Amino acid sequence: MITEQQVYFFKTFGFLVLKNVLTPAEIKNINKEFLVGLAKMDETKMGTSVRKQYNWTNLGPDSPFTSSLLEDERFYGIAQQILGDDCVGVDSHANQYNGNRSPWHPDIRELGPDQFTGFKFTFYLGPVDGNSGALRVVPGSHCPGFSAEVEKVFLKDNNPGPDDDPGLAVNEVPAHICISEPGDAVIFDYFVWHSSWGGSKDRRMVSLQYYKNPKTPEEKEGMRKMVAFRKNFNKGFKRETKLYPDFWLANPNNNVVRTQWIEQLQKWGFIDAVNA
Amino acid sequence: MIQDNYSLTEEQIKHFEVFGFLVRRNVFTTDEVAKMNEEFDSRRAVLLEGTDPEEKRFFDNWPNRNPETPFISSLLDDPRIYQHSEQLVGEDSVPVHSNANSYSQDSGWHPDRTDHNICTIKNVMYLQPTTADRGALRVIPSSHKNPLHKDLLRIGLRGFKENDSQFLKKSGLCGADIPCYIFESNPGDIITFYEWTWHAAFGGYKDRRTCTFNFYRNPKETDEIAAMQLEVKNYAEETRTLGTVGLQFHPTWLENPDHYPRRERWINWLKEWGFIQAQYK
Repeated sequence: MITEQQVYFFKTFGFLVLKNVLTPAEIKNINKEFLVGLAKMDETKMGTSVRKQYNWTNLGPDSPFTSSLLEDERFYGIAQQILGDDCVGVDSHANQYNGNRSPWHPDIRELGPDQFTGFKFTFYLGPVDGNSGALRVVPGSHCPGFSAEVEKVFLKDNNPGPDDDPGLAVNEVPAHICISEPGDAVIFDYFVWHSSWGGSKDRRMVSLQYYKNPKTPEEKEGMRKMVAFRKNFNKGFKRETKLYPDFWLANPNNNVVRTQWIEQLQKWGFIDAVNA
Repeated sequence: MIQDNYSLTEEQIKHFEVFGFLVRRNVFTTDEVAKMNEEFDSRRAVLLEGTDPEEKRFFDNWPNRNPETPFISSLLDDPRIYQHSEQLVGEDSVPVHSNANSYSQDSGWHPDRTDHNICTIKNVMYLQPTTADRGALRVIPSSHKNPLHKDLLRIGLRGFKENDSQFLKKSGLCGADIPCYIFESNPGDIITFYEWTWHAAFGGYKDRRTCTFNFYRNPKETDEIAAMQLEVKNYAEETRTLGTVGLQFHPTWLENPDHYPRRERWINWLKEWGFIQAQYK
């Protein structure tokens, strides 16, 4: 659980750093499972962007401990605090980055905050700082007005200006650097602008993703759009396994929370869309 | 007079509008900074002679426009200070404050101004090198605009001293934990920011020095005019509260011996609004 002030912090700045959420033994376990997933990757599965990213789901049988974190009170409890008791754990990914940067972007541009609310936990499996690939965020940029303003700024990588003034490099955008040690986690809103700078090969990151259960007509319409968006988005990754493997859907331990989530994801049409 | 072109590019202006601040590096030379420090030393020494040593002051500050600091005083007439300021807040903008500041401790998070009917910018130059741990100015990007500007007020972040901030007290965080851009600088670098932008500095030490040059947008709309009238009305009290020593608009500066047309326009504007008269109240 987080304090009232931490909730304010997250809502105001769009992110929150949590220290020592996972123990060294747990990180060791996650790394072990990570290597099993990584062994199944080859160059054909590497993303083509400057991130040079491998991405795979943690919900398969190779990573039972990492998979269980989505339902872990340390994460799910915080998600409930922020998104409501009936929020849904949607995804857990493993990522290996081999590029020296991730250009600035918010994770969602297609919807507004009146249509969709959600966030992800990220935790790096090695220490990262401003020059070795730590997450950078523009605090407050999850707010629509600010986000629209950032869209206007020329960015060398993905929104370049003219040749004589191509715009800002990743490390020139004013930002907060989320310095992190293994065991720390960063929560960030899907709408917040983020990036990384100075990463080298084999930068490992795990994410856990949660969505608010839509209630208003705008939110329900937003979820319909999100399902369509995720269907197309996932085509961009060269994955062999389904995002929701049969192992996870079978829910072998009959976890009550997971049962509710699967029902909800099916109701939204999410599983069929992303597994297609 | 320096004749170089110190205009901002469109992208620099956009950066300022979006993030609420802009950094320019190496605007003044090492020799010029040395001259500023020399004048700063002598002026500070004179002022400290008249100060009660037992008095615990948060910071000492005095206006630059006086004959004892001729070089610093002349900076307002230098395009490196006025040209970009006019680009950012209007060709008819006016420098109302030009101060030297000697801080004795940290500055907690605050905006200089919360009323969006008065548009002012502040140019700040540190006369010593600064780092994150040693007095560098920190700014929260885009906090000049709502909702972020108001959200920070609402959560109780404001406190000129760290202990004054209700948010920091309740959260157990320190000022340095608040996400921001840190302006690590060398003397000669300048940061310009809207006075609505939230800022702070930590790792303060005795006699942490800045020179500041504040430009006001010429008010046009009814609400802006009313806000400026209130500003003039409160001017003397504000100056006393800040402990500013000496006249902001010294008679020698008002004489404008070199007949600079820009300064002439400024003086006329300051007279029209009543700022010059207000400094004697």
